[in-house]
Amino acid sequence: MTIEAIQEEIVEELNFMDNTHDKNDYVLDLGKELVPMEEEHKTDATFIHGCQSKAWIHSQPNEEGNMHFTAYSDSLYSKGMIALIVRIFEGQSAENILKADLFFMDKVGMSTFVSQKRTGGMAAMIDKIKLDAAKALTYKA
Amino acid sequence: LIDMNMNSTIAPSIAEHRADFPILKREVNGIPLVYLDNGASSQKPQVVIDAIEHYYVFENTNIHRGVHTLSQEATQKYEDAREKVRAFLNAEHSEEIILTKGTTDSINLVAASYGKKFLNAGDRVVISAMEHHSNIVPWQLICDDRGAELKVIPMTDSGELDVEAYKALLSPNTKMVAVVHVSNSLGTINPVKEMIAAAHQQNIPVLIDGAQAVPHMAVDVRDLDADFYAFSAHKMFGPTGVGVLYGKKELLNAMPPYQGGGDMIKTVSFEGSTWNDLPHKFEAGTPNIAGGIALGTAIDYINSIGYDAMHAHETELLEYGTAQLLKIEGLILYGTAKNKAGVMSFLIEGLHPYDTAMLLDRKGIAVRTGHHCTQPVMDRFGIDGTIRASLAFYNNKADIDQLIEAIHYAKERLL
Repeated sequence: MTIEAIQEEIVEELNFMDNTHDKNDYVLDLGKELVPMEEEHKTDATFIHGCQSKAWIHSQPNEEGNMHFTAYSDSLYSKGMIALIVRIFEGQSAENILKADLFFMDKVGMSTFVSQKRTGGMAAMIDKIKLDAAKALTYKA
Repeated sequence: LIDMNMNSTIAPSIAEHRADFPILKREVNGIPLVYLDNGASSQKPQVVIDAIEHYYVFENTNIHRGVHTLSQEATQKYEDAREKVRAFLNAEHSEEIILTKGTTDSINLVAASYGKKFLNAGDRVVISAMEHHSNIVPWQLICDDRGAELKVIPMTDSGELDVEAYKALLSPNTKMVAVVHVSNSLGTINPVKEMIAAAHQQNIPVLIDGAQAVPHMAVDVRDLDADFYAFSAHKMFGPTGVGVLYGKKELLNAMPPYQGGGDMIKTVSFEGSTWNDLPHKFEAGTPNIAGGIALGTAIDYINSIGYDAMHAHETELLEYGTAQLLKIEGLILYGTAKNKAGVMSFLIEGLHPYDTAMLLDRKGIAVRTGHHCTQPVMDRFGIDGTIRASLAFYNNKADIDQLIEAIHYAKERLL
């Protein structure tokens, strides 16, 4: 599935819910499903700066140049936000990740049910993933 | 209570005063608001809101300048408010009351002005481990500038200052002690009178950050013998953007101006300027006039209820709330000092404070999460932050019960 198609899927799922509690519950439930991260990957290099809670995202490109992610946060809600992003980017090529236009946040009206600080944290997570993708490309080259 | 003058009217009970605060009638997420973020900012009674509105509807103009009626009336009301603050603190002179933007502004004023004049290389400023960032950073800035050192009074596991260690820090080169009266993140009431006396034995002036004290207890600056006392109106039922710096006249007179501008000058020429007398020397520019007047109204309001009644009610509520919280499995309370005011700071094992607060908000409950501008306190306990429920006299046991119920809901949802 393309990054755009996955985003459309998320938009449909979230916009199906008509109240903010349900939307936040959806994010919390995603947090419970986030695949645990290896303890050794919680390093300064994988730490997300700008998050309200502590969060780490570890990126690993495979031989074909597709990116794989594991992540952790001490906040269940942040885990849910990471899970959303990982769902969009998991297995995508570094090139596609770099040029991806992340429209789902606007389309679901994220600022109406997520605090400004937390949407800022989500932006920091996306920046980190894009930076990792850029590094993977540089390394590949 | 009986009015002894005449008529035998019965004063409203503490519980009835809750109705004075219109915002407490609103709902959040369809549930009546439970406001437990008073440490951040208290709510405002209708009389304070009315005072602000009345000023802009009937009295608005600039003060201290015009001879027209409005200017004279507004000036009188603003200066009346200053006099109310003087009486509120039992200060000797009204010119010892500087009206500022708030506690932070008051402390910055002292740090910058007193520091510029009296701090030299090798001197020492003593603060405590439980200071709000507002009583740390201004001192760091001036100490860096003057080559002075900042020393920190340590704190025990219960969140109490080590007074013996404090006394050992006082030295001939200590030029200032700046300590919080009531900790905003732990609720500890510090023994400031004893600490001031110890500093005075070595002629060291003391600044007290009273931001979290004035909403809960009467403060008598002469009884404390405080050299400086700072607080904000908005935490004691007054408006934001206005606060107080009390300073002993001789100290304030010895200090250079902090900011330059209108009102603080006597004469201005390009060759040089001369300074106005106290308190105006430290009040550059047009002040928050409506805010100052409304601060006076907030003081009237507190006086009409009385700190004794407020304190008795809050003490009972704090004891009840603490006992109820401690029944929750996995709850850790931070700040277990014997003398506390208004604050219950806690974490629940396995629950992130931000996630918890989000779910509490869903249940109409306003609490604060994070480091509460006291990162060194959090470091001392090895945590990133807490959930803080902070009380005002208008809270009641039903508020606490709703908080407890919501915490159980959050636990169920998050664990």
